Amino acid sequence: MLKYTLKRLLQSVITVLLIVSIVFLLMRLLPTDYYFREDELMKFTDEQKNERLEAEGLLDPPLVQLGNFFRNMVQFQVKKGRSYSLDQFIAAKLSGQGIDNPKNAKTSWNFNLGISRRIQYGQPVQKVIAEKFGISMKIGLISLAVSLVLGVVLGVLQARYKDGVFDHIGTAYTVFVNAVPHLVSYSLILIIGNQIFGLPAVYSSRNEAQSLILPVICLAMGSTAGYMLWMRRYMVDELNKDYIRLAKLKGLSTTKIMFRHVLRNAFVPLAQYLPYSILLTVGGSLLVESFFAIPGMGPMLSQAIPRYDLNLVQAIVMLYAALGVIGVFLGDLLMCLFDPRISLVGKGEAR
Amino acid sequence: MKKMLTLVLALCLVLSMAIVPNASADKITDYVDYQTQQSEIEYWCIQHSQGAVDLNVLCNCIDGLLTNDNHGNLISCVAKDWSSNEDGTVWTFNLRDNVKWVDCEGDEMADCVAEDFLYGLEFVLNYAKNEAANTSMPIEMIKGAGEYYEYTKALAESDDQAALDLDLEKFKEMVGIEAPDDYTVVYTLSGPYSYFPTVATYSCLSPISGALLEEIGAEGYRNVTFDTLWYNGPYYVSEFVDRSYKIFTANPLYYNDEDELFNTVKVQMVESPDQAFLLYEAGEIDKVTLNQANLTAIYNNPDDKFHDYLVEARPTKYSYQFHFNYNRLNEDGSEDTDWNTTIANENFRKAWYYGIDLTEWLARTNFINPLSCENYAYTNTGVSTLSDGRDYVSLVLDEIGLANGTGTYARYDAEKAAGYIEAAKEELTAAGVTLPVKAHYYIVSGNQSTLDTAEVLKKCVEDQLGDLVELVIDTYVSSYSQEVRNPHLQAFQINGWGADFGDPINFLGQETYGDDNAYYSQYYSNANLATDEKLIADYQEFTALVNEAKAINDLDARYAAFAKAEACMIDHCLVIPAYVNVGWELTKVNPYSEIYCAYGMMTYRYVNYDTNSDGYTTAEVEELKAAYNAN
Amino acid sequence: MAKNKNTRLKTPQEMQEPVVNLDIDYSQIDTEPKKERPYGREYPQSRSRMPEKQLFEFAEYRPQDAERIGYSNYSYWKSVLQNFLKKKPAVIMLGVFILLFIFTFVAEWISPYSVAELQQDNNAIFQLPSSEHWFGTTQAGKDYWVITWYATRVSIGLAAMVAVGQIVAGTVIGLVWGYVRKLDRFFTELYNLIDNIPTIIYMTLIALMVGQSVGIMAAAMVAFGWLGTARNVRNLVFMYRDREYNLASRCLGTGLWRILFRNIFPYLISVIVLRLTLAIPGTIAYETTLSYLGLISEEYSLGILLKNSRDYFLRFPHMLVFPAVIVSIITITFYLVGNAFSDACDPRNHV
Repeated sequence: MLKYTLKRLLQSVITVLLIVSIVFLLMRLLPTDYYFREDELMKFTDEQKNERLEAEGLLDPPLVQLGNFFRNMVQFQVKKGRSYSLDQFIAAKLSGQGIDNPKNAKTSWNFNLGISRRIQYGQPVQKVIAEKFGISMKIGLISLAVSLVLGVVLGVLQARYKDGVFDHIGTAYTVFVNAVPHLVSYSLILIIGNQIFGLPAVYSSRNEAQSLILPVICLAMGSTAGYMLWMRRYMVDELNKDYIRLAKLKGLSTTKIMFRHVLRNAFVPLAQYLPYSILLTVGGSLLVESFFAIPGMGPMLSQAIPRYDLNLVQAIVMLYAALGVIGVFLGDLLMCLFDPRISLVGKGEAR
Repeated sequence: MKKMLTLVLALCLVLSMAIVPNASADKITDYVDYQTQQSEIEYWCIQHSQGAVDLNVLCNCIDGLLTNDNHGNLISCVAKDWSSNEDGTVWTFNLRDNVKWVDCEGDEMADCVAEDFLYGLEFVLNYAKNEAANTSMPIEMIKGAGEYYEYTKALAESDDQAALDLDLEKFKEMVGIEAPDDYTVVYTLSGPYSYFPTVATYSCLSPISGALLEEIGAEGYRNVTFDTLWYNGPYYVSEFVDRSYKIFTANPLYYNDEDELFNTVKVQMVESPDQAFLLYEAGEIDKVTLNQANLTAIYNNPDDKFHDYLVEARPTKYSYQFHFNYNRLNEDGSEDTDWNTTIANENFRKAWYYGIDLTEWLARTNFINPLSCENYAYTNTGVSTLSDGRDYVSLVLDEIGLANGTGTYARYDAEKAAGYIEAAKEELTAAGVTLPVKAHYYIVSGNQSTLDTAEVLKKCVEDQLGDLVELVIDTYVSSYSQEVRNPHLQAFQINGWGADFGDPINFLGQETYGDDNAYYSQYYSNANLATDEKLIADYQEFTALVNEAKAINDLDARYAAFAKAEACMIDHCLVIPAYVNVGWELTKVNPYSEIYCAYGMMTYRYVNYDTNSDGYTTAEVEELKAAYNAN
Repeated sequence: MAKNKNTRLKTPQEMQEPVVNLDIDYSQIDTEPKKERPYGREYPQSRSRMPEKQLFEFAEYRPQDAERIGYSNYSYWKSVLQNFLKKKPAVIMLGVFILLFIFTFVAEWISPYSVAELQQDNNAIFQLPSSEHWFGTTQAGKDYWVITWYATRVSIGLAAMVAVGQIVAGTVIGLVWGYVRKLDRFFTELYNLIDNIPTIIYMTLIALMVGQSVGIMAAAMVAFGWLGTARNVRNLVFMYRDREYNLASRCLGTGLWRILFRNIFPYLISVIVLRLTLAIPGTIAYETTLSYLGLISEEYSLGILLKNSRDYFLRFPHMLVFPAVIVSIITITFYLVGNAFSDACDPRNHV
């Protein structure tokens, strides 16, 4: 198991690095004009533009830029001294000179993904992301919890009273939520919540709890419907199994059957996606966060790309990719825990 | 129990109803403004920024030498007075001695002294420190600035750290700026620049606290954020939540007791203009620019609660023009001779000038008073003022025989136009041009409103010049300069220029012939590639007049000469003025008390605002406007 | 999360239940005329589903009867249709949708206006629905009726194109990916790479560099939208490719494509149909998001109308209501039809 885990993690690291390289090169295809703002484009001559770009190192060939990016990714910092990239550090160590204070100085190292150029000028991208992901995660987790509880309970009830009134109402709800585009339903929630219930329409850190009510409703509305739908489906599938029939014949109470046997088994396929969804709450939601002016991760990518804030784009992609890979892995593990019949190693694999 | 509850609720309702009308027409102490999320501040380093999104914030935070008032006049800021030697090459600014730097909690950090302005300029000119941002004006005007820039650039290329570590020593030696004592700054210029004080309002001459620079280093300062920055202006930023909101708090150590400040100013970021309106309605923001839907609905419905509160905004600082392309190429790179011949024909251009009534098109910007957007001059109103208080633009209008505010579209003259159309038709047919000639007009793709506007323009042009020209609306994906301008694809472009300093040369200098740095004639009109002799001669005549005016130091005579040059350009229709942007808003701020200046960066400085917590009505603003104009 | 949930339409256990009883004694059935039975060949279970009583009774041997029992007039697609027609709501909605689609052509014809000749009219902006303008007018004073129906046509066309493209590409790639073991690693890595880069990056890059027309966006959506289907198909192929009947088929020298399309593909039909039908509303929703980000440029499509109407609908709700209702109808239709049709496609439901 350990060997399997290690192998898989190593593979993941390679995948993530490959993804970052691809994104890095893709982003270099953009015209550099995006680096400038409209009023700058209006006033700069081509020469001025080139000087700015050159100073930022954006005129180097893309592969050279990529090389620099990886070289500088890990930085060694000599206490109170200058910092080195990995290769400089090794070279200096090997030659035994070059580092300001080679012997006794404490060196520390840190990840360096570059600094943001447009979104928050001059800030290390880790810092920009660090400021942002907390709030996204907070809303995401609250709405995930809300929708998971609501969705599972309602889905179970739907399955329990299959083809009854409640089932139909539930189905109508899921259909309706999926049918109305989010752009529209979020706008409606914003206006109804603001004008009728007087809830704040924009985020404020001073009144955080209240100002997060509407965003959470927006987010939870859709995913509740999702959980209901799949929960119901898996439950119904499970209910037709022989062991349930046997349990019924043996005279087990319906509630017991539903919660002790059916729910457990039906939850396995959902559990697989749970870690993934939890981790990806970091990503936030584009629409919800722009609508309610929440300073989260959601709109970052779509803002950073057309602004040529490449370091930030790379960092975000790296984060998402890493979380995605880890999420899937944890999901597999969780599934094994829930259902001992499934095994990740050995004969379980299809041959 | 239930009864109790009802009673309590009813009581609350009565009480709240009783309270609300009493709170009438107070001044606002905590003002809330808004911006769209697209316009979030990017650079907190004022020296590094030339963009409105930053300067709209920073003009409240970092005070330079001078600022503007609500009439656009230059007034004292950190400098209490200023003067020049006779020929306008040496400018001396005497500073106040009570200006302090405070941090993001309002605590005093240091005094603001003359040397801080030296640090500021050194930072701007140092290639390694400021990465070539904001250099164009100082390099042009200040003695030795260009040399110092080149020096740092060469140094940076061999040793970046050395350039970053440069202190003031070399800089003082090379550049024409000095601080004889703590409260005097003297600039020595490379020539006579009578308008230099207007440059002193701009970010390129802003100060940096030497102590702060020492604390966080040059690179640290370029990457500064609101919580490490030091402030010497009327406000400091006490809270900043990226793409959500920021809060300015009045600086307790602000030097000028006469300025009236808000206790706090909150700038709320909103997702769309419609959301801004929602917030205004809910009383959460104090001013909102209306989009077409809200404006139409409010205007057409006399019962709307905002119907009497519609206020026409003041024009923005941009003056929009039709820039013709005298060297249009087809998409395959070959020359579009039809268009180039046509546009080089002066009768054709005059037909465009006299023959198109743009009222309907202007209504796209302002459907209530389309003529508020009329623009007959190239330079924008409010850039320069004569000694008798008249605006420079009125001189130009006198020269070309037009006037603003006549109630009709003044330039349109059907009779004259008919003559020019006939003449153009004849000459162009003789030159072998197939009429109507195609005029390619490029707009950004995917923007409904831009497309609507372009279609109206097409209608305006073709209704009246349909025999001569067919307007073709083309789109570009994202980068106008790379996709359209560089390959010379546009037949004409409508573009607005906003000045950084207050002199007509900032406008007219963009149109001169044979000058690489003339932005519009070089990049938009491609005038230097034109081949028609008459056209070149006209350009040269205009350029000569500009150069003549440029050399004059006496302001009134200078402006008169510029007005002649500008009239010459408009008379030959080298460029045709199009419109200025005037929208409508709902506001609790008297728009005529806000700083208004067609150049520089002071528009969003929240000082000396007159406010009214009920909002201003249309009638009130009309009165205020009359009073303002009488001043 | 939602994206991945679709891939788990059926639980693995369910899928593994043999659909076909392979233990039939063929000597009891006629062996000769198999070829003549259209579709019937793969579903000989009809015999094994005889009433129990019959199975246990000794029957007198009569050649005609033997022939009659051995032959079934079972037709797969006919059963599908019969099953589908039993689901009344789906059938009704499908009827509504077909009428709606036909109406998009009729609408312009019965209206005094036509899309191509619409003129700006500053005096007629934002009119509410009236006998003159049946859906009111737009911000430019254009007739909203013809615009809405034209946009509906554009969007349906786009959605159908994208959905079919995605499904065809996804199915073919998924079949190969699942069946050819050597390629599994390659496709898995490719999938991980493409899937972990946020789509918004591709879309923005394509929009900024290639163009924003509907055609280009449709191509882009196909190019990055096949992944989900392909993975889904691949997982299913894994389950079936090593069943005994396939081993036998391979031993007898059946070609690759024949095995894929004759032996395996039929099991996938229900899943593919469901994905196809859900891809249509999915594409419309995606188009709405793309227009919100300004990445798609077409004069009229439902997504663009919805996006534009956000600026106006507080004051002029008719701008929002009409396109939103149409989108909802389309979504609900395909949601119901998809589920019903996919159930109908599942041969286990055919009796």
